Amino acid sequence: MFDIDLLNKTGIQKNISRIKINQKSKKQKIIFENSKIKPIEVNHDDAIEISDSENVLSFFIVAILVSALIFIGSFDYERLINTNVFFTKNTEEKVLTDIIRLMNNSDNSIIVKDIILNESLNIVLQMNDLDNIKLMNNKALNYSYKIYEDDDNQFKVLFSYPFNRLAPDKNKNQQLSTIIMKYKNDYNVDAQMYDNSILFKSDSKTILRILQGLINTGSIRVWPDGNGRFSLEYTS
Amino acid sequence: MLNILLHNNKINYIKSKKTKNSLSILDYGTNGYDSLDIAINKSILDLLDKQNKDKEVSVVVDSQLCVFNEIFCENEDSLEFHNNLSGNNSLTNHMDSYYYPIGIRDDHYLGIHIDKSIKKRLQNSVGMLDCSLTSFGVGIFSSEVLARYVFGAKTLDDYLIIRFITSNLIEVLYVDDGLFMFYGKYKLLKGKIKSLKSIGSIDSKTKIDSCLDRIIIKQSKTTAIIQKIFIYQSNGQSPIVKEFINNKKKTNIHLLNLFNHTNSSEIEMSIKDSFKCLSYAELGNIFRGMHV
Repeated sequence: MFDIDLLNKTGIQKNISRIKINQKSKKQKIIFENSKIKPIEVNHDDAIEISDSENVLSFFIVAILVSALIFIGSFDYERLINTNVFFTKNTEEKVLTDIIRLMNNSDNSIIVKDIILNESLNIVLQMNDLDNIKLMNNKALNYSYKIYEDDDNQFKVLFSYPFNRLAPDKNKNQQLSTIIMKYKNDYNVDAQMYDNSILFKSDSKTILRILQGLINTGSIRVWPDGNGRFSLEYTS
Repeated sequence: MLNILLHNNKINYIKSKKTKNSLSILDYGTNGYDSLDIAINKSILDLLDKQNKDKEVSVVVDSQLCVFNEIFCENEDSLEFHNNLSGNNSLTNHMDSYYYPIGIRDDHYLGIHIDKSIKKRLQNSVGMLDCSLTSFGVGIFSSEVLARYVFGAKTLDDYLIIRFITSNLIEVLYVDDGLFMFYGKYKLLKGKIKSLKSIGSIDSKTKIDSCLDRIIIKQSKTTAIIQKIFIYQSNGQSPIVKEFINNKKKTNIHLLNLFNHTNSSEIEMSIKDSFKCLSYAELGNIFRGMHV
């Protein structure tokens, strides 16, 4: 049996070794210096105790913050809000990771019905046991969710995560034309245009690559077509 | 040394000190946070002893934060070919992938993939505090280290680790003749066990399926299929685990309770405390290399 350490270099790990048993070596002890089991300590950001002297300091900090808000208020509000504060690269990575995980791991207990990315990430999953919600909310993003009861003891659960703003630093026309140029001769991708939307149909890997290119530039909806294929509808 | 087990928004920690002849558990506990992000960013800062010059941190991450798959390939070059063919290369921007040998074949690997940002943020957090991250393990594999070194599994012909992720979701790891043979995830649904993921040999799977059927469905307190079975629960209180906590008869099914690793009858614990103790099993990597 090997020891897993994710600090090692990625790729194939060659650290396999049979266990060496040396029963003659001196036994080591485990010493518990405090054997009382403690309750869970909850660390909320707002659960910090403040002393009297810190109250005065807090007052000054609040005063400085209010002044700063008034100063910010005098700026061009649209320009300020359109900067990419809400949808950081980090969030984008987490969103993509969750989508990749869902598209690759859909099984009979959790079925992906719809993934919608616009001003928020909305994921509709069908599941036969509400305990599976824990699996979804055990990830990097903290989703809010609504449960809808379906027929045959099935549940539809809508998970939502707000983004608030799209990133203005991406040129959506350029992103879209790059995608179209890349896949126009690809027999694995069906693309069709209607109204203000483009529909791509392909396997999960290709759809993920298209999603990665278009994410954060418009409204995107992804849903399964069966047999490992997915549809992606992009609306600018 | 500070050892942290990172679940979603909850962490378990053990502060330990290792000498030549012993390992002292100086302090341990559980902290809750509002989200995984806050847990990653704040937990080390909250727990690091400012007075202590020992600034080594070891982290174990819940396997629920990883993705597992199975591949057959001969070497690093064929892995590259495999990834190009399957399109997995597009994931490398977001995930770190590690492939560990499984079973007796030379070309069979278990793939463990983790969100790069989790590792990066942990390293940043440790770096800002002028500490060093000494190891980064994965839940059930870390509990196997506890079974191996503290519960004497290293001398066994074969053994199975069963983790109750919740009361109706389980994860298993099987070692035969010192070789990692099987990883699986199962759902307990209306008195049935449904396999969600199985990676490893078919022979091992058949053995484990019948073993789980015996222990979980038929609620037997012992089994001859596998030499020893180690059980723990990370979240919730399964009635099956509760039965084993209450069981005083001799059995080859053991609880991975590191606070009572000698299985002494003198140590009395309430059911609630026993479950709390079991949730520390995944910090087993700190006992690596010990002879207890």
